Amino acid sequence: MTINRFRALLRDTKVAPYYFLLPFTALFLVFTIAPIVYDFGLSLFTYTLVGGTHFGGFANYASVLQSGLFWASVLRVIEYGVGVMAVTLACSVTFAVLLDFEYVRFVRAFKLIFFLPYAVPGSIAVMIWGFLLEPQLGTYPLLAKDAGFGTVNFLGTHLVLFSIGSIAVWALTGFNMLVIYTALKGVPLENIEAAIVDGASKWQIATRVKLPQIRPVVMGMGFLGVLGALQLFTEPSILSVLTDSISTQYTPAMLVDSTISTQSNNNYAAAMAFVLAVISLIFAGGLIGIFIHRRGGFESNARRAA
Amino acid sequence: MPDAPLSGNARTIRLTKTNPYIRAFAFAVMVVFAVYAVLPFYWLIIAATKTNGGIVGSLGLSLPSRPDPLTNLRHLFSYDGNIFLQWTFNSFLYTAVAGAAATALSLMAGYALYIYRFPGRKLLLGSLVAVSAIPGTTLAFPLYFLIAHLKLANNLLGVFLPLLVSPFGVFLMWLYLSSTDCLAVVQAGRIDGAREIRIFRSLVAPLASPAIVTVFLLIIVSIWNNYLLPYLVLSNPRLQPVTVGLAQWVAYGGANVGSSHQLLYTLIVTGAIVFILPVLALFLVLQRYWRDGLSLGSTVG
Repeated sequence: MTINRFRALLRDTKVAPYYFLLPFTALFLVFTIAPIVYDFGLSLFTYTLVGGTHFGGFANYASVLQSGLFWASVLRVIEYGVGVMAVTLACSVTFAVLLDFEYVRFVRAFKLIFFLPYAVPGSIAVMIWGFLLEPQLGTYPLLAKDAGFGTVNFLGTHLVLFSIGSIAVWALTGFNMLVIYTALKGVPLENIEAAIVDGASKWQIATRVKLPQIRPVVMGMGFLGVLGALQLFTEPSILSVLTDSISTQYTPAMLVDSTISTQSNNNYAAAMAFVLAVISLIFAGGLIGIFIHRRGGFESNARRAA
Repeated sequence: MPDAPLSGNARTIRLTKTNPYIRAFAFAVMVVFAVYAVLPFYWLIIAATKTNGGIVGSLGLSLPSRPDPLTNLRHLFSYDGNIFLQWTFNSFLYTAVAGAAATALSLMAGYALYIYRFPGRKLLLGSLVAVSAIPGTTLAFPLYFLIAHLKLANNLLGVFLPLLVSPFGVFLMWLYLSSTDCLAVVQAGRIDGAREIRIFRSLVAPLASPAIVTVFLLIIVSIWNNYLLPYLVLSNPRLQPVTVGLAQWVAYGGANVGSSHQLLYTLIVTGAIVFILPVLALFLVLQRYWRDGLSLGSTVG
């Protein structure tokens, strides 16, 4: 093949897309699709200490779905996710509205300060908070004592999930506030002008005109947040060294991790990981379904948005 | 649509006066949350300037009697055969190289998906959307199994190669290009007789530069913060990034709060501050691009 012929080939718009797509698609297949397939394959084999590994069909799935530990961890993170997102969104909507309508000054300073925690990786955030909440010497237990609450163990069985949740609220509120703030600024001016002409107060404009329009954004973030909570791993895993209240089966991801590291039962772990992926997909599929239903098509919506 | 819209109307909206008590209450609420947001940073800075005895004696908010951040920094970087320096280097390496490569791949793929019609396009788009709906943690375990199977555990490539795949990056590129006059530019280039690769390099890439910056930022922050995959794949400390390394120090010291490992606590705190400073700096310097990412995020997600 001569150079010219090669160039002509490249120029051919029939070949070019594959040329551009090859590097990404190859890696995508190997490191995203193939692992899912391989994981599914692994999950079909059963491992026992005595008998070794043999094909077991859906036996692992049967025991995952009947496992009390598994469902307890799933319920725990869903409960956690709903709680965290309810608080986060309530706070961030409130703050965004206050900033948007200039109820408070120093808008830029507040935006910056609230957003700062988002820049801290979860693994580092939980270390900092671990020190702050540490029962004997931590800052918050000391403050609680000074304030007359007595000895509060923020990492004890009752409060530990709440404490992890408050780290998440700390990290997420500013980010969500900014997204909502941006969405509030994007509400068409005509609607607001019309409301002003009708003599609406600021409060009425906020609650009757603006908030209803950004509801899809807020709901979408809520769903995504709960979906994210399903993955909870880093925070409780790192925090578990500071407290006995977090077991190695505390969240689904920790359960998978401990099945790998302490029981070396990769087959069972693979089945759990697959079930988790399916749960995530169903969740996300529902979300996308709602989205398409509301806005008349994903692609057209994306175009319009950009 | 970032900032402007309402400001033109601000005067008319201010016509309805807000009760000063409500304003004061709103301000108080904001300040309370601001304190909640800032307190850990304040504590972190104070703790990092305390010498190792001081931190365990008082995990509180009191200022150190003799601030000594430089000694702590020196300890941090020299401890255990300069291991923290190695971790920092690893984090930078993974982030910079994988981030740049992933951004380039995302642009190429997003561009191809936008501009060309070819068999398999719908399938690829569909699987991209589906996969970006499965969060990273869930994918990390299958990925770990495959990497272990391929004997890439404890190998740089095992962590590095998966980082190059960013379906969300492809999606954002595609979204951005569809908002530009990319199609017309490409057609003009073809009429001038330019090859496809040349059109991409000298016409499309400059056109997409705002999206390149935004996607690059999103990707490097996610790599910088990555924890689970390196935690699963890399057990050799010399290959680990800072996140995993520091977490191991916490695990070593965790069982013995207040007794031994005092040095380790100072090191963890100092390491944490060193580690988050670059990201904070990026946030502050490139705020505009974050906002672009945010508004994209709010319309996509």
